This record gives sequence, C-alpha cells and structure tokens, in this order.
Amino acid sequence: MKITELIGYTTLFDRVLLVFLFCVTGASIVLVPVYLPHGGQVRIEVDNKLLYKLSLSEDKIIPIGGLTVQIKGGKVRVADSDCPGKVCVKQGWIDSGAIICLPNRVAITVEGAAPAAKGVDATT
Amino acid sequence: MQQRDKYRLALLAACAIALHGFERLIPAPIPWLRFGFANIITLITLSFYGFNAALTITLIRILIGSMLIGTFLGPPFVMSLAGGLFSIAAMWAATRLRLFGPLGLSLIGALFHNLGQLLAGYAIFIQNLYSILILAPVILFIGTLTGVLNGLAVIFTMEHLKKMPDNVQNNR
Repeated sequence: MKITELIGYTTLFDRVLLVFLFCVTGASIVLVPVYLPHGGQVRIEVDNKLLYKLSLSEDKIIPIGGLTVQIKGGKVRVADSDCPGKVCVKQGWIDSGAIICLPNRVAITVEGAAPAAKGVDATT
Repeated sequence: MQQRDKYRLALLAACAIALHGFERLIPAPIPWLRFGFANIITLITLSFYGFNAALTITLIRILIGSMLIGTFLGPPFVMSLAGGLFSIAAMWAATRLRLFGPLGLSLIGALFHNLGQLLAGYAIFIQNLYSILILAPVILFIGTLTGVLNGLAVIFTMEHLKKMPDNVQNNR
C-alpha cells in the first residue's frame, strides 16, 4: 500500500484538522514565548553571594535585611529600603536589567527575559 | 459479548501493552517523547468494537503496562492514566460526529492525550503556569506529528483487516 493510497482514505475534515493543528501549534511555539516576556528569573545577590533565584511569574514579597523586595505581575521592585538615598526604591518596577542597592550591597537582576536584559547598562 | 470477542479484545490488549512497552526502547532526543503507538490499537478497537471495548483495553494497557515497567501508581502512571482517559473520551466524541476518518481521530486522540497529561502534570507536579505554557506548544506540535504517523498506521492496519477472510468487524 503506497502512502498516496493511505492519504486517499482521509476525509476533508481530517486534512483541515491536520493543517489547523500544525498551524496553531507551530505558531504558538513561536508566539507564546514572545507574548509571555515576563517569565524570567530574578537573582537576588547580597555581597556577591546568590541568596535567591525566583521566578518572575510568582507574586511574592521578600524581606532582605533592610530591604523589602516585591515581585508582582512579572515585574520586580524594591518596595521599601532603609538606605539613605532610596535610589533603589525610586527605580520602581523593572522587568529587565537590574536594581542595585549599594548601601545594603544588594543586587537584584532579572535574567532570561527580553534580550535587552542581557546588555550591560553603563549607568548602573 | 461473545466468547470470540473476548479473545480478540485480550489479543488487542496484549498488542497494546507490547507496543506501549517496546516504544520505550526507541531512542528519542527528549526522554518523555513517545510515539504513542498504543493509540493505534485503541483506535482500531474503538472503530470495530465501540467505546466500552476501547476503554477496557486502554485501562488494561495502562494498568498492566505500568506494572511491567514499574511505574504503577507513580507519577508517570497518573500522567498516563489522565492522558489515556482524556484521549479515549475525545476520540469517542469525535466518532459520534461522523466527520473524521482514522487520521483525524488519531490527531484528536494525540491532542487530548497531551492535553490530559499537561493538565495532570500541572495539577500534581509543576504548579508553574509559565513553564507549562512554554512547554505545551512544543508537546502539542510533536503530538501532531506522531498523530499523523499513527493515523496512517491505523488506516493501513484497518484496510488490511477488512480484506481478511475472517471478517474482524462483522460482529460488533
């Protein structure tokens, strides 16, 4: 039995379903990671030592020394800090790049998300 | 159900268990990637003997297959059971529509098998929606590929069975 004969036994709906499934799954392989950009991980380092490695997709509030780090809706911020300048708090929500609090020696880095997150930011 | 039918169902179940067990030996790039050849048997049973027989064979295959491999009541068993029940229910519903041939039924079976496994996996093991959403399209795409293979195998097998002198499907 040749493969062309086998195809002769398929109905129109079979072929429509086949093409539909290939299109939908193929497209979603490409599109789902694009439309789910906040799937990266947050690394929280204190004194260059890795303390936490968390997923951005889980909402959480973590106290680290004088800092309160909040993860919500695929973004991370420093909600509160006891440092004098409060630069880290003013930086607000980020989903790429990093927040550094020098007085507390805390570095919060987002990785694995948008490609832009991997570039080096000269200003921080 | 006649005695002869019972023998045939036992034989089909044995075929399903054998395929289920032996496909583990096929090397695959990803460890949990399977062809799901046992679905060929399930589909043939479903179209020749109806829903009850196919459900029986699926349950026998999953129970005895998992005992042979040693995953009985373990995580792979739960995933297997969820996938098997989902796919058999979906394929039965699709046969009632009378729109699809064996290829379409095989595709639907593969799709719902994977959906069932993903749901079970999410409910029991990885409660991380993000990784499930990233993983799902890849699994469903591979499932479509294997679904086409199995569907063509089902057409091939059924056409051969219909040509046999002792007609298999005559006493449904």
